[in-house]
Amino acid sequence: MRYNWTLTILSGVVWTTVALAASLKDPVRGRDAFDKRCTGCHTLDKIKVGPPLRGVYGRTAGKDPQFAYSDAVKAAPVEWDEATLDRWLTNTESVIPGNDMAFRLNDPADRANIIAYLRQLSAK
Amino acid sequence: MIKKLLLAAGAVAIAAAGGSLLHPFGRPAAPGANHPILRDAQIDPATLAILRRACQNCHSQQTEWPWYSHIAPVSWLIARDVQQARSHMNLSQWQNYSADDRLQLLSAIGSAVRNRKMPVQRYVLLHPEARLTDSERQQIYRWTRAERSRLSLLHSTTSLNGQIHFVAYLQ
Repeated sequence: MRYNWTLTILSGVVWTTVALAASLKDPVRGRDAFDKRCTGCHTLDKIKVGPPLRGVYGRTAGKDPQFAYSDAVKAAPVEWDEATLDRWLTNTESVIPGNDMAFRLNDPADRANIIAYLRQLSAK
Repeated sequence: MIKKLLLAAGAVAIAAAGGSLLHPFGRPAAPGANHPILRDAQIDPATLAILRRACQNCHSQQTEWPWYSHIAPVSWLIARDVQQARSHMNLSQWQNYSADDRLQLLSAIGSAVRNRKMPVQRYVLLHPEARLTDSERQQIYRWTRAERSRLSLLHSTTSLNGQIHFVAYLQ
């Protein structure tokens, strides 16, 4: 019985630590994660496969005049904030069905850090 | 003076011939390789012809090597470009990509072509036949979207079948 309680408390501590780590939203780690996971298709200032991402946080979707977005993204009334970006990076189709970005970022900590990095860039 | 020039030309020729035997970026020219592109994809002949004309020279094993691609140091630069292009996407290996990889590649093809990032400008300068018209770009984009929809549907049906089989197995 005591063994069961110890296990429960230990797993609680582990999960709390993981949740806390995920909620820290470190923009420095976010820049590393961005370099590893996003730069295949995006840069900050130039069109690559996807649109440039400096200033994307706080902007309405599909509004970079240089980039040819899908019709779905152009018509979507979505503003990029923490919640929408998190959902977008988890599953783009759940935010704007019919978009052109087939990519998923499964790690919640990576998502949180990258969003923190994009937010920091927008604030500058 | 003429003798010096001849000596210099000879030295350059020997260096180019010797350099051509070296392959610092690997040897992408697989002699006799015959790998059709986009096996397992559903694509109409007209769009396939455009992709063959504009993409397969770098993004597949079907590369046609021009005469200057055998002379160093140009051969090294071209070999490096082709290696990099194939590492991003090799249309001859299409059937070996996972469903997720194919979906990502299709979305990248559509966006890069539509936004004029592909074919790259310096390639088109040497290969004007790879130049794409606006309607050809649209045609490729429409195909990538149709193929993505088909794959997504196929993928979800397969997953659903898997779940049904799994439920049947549990019962």
